[in-house]
Amino acid sequence: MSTELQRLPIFLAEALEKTLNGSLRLDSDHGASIKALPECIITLQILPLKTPFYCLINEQQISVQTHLQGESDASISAQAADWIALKHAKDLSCFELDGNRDLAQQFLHALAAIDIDWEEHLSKITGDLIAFKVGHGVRSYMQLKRDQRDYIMQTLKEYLQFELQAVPSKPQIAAFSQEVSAVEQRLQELEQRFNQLDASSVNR
Amino acid sequence: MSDKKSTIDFGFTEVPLEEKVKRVKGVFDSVAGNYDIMNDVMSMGVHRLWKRQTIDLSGVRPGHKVLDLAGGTGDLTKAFAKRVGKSGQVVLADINESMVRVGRDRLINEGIIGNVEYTITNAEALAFPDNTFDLATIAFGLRNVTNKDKALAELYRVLKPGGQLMILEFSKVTNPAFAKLYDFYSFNILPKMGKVIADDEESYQYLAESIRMHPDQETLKQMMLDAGFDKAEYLNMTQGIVALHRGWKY
Ligand SMILES: C[S@@+](CC[C@H](N)C(=O)[O-])C[C@H]1O[C@@H](n2cnc3c(N)ncnc32)[C@H](O)[C@@H]1O
Repeated sequence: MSTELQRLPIFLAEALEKTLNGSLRLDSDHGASIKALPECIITLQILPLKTPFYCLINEQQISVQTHLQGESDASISAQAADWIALKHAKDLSCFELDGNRDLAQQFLHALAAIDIDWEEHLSKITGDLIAFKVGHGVRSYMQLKRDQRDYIMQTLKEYLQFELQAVPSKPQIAAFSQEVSAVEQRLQELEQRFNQLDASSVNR
Repeated sequence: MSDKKSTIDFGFTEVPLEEKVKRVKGVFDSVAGNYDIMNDVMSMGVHRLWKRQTIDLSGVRPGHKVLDLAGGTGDLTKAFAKRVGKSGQVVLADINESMVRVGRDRLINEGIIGNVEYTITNAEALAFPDNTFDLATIAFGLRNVTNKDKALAELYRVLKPGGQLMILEFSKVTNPAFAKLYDFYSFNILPKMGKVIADDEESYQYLAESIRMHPDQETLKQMMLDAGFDKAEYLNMTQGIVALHRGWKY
């Protein structure tokens, strides 16, 4: 396996770590229920991905990695679609728990309680993974970057044009250049008249 | 008469053995303040990926005791401290006080407190008892060490049985065409960037040269086995610009 392909799950772990900690920070009680857990390791399995995501939990944050020396304390396994539906799920029976089931249950409920946009995150993960596997990985990443860049440029452009009016829009430029042409025209006419006047005064 | 070599490479220059430690100290004294920015610029941000992969592959867990040797400004220490939690500990050890000071201030600023210890130590004579650490790392540090065999033996000594050493270091580029491009970058562009960003062309010239003088993948692996490691393997990253060597003590 190329190192790039080996590295992909690690990117995913990093992305998951950012999503989880970001959601904890934004949560109204700062993810108190997760921080109340003892220092422990819980494996998340997001099927059909084979890579296990080991969540190292302590009172400060969650670290996510794809390798672990030894065993985790508990594991939670479900299809990506079930993770996406977690926020609104009434029944969590599709989540398979293993190891210390109490701990897994606590973690799962805590995850359900904080507002994590699994859908956005997982669609990116699974989308990118599948794209990568069929050889379009680089292109899809580039496209993602390009889309983001285009979006940012567009937003910035709109902001500058309509909010600050710092940069003229196309119609504004067109109107402006029409005005410039009109002034230019008038200048030419004026110049002609001046020359005529000048000529007639010399001839006199 | 002893036939022991009395000089050693300092980049492409030969200097007396005892002189290298002083000179390396000079280099890192002079780059400490700008080290993090330069690292990003020099590797175009890729050093973060190399480090992230190292952290992930370590498989570190809460409660572990980790040595981040030549830890410098503490990138790895920070990640490990988050992972080992309150029940674990990370020791950032470096020969250079300026680098440790920059590292410590930075980590404290970022709220990494309580499970990190900072010490000034030479890799060749570690001030720790035998069988102390579950994991030891040395990232972009080994090539600066004068007697690498001694450092490897010391790392083996301080690891617990079952413990793992991870060496992240510049290595030999595997693809010849890419190697040419990389050489051009290292010897022409890199020192100039050092001049522009840190006003320090010489130190970055040394960095480029020291990378070329460092043992290649296979040689380093053999050195690890010779130092006593029971198993050693390596993984090339970015075409071998960097290699991650891992050794285990059983
Ligand atoms: C390029 S920096 C790497 C810092 C950090 N590990 C990183 O990856 O960002 C190299 C470090 O090695 C340290 N160093 C050089 N020789 C050493 C020795 N003999 N013992 C311990 N540290 C040493 C330097 O002081 C410097 O901080």
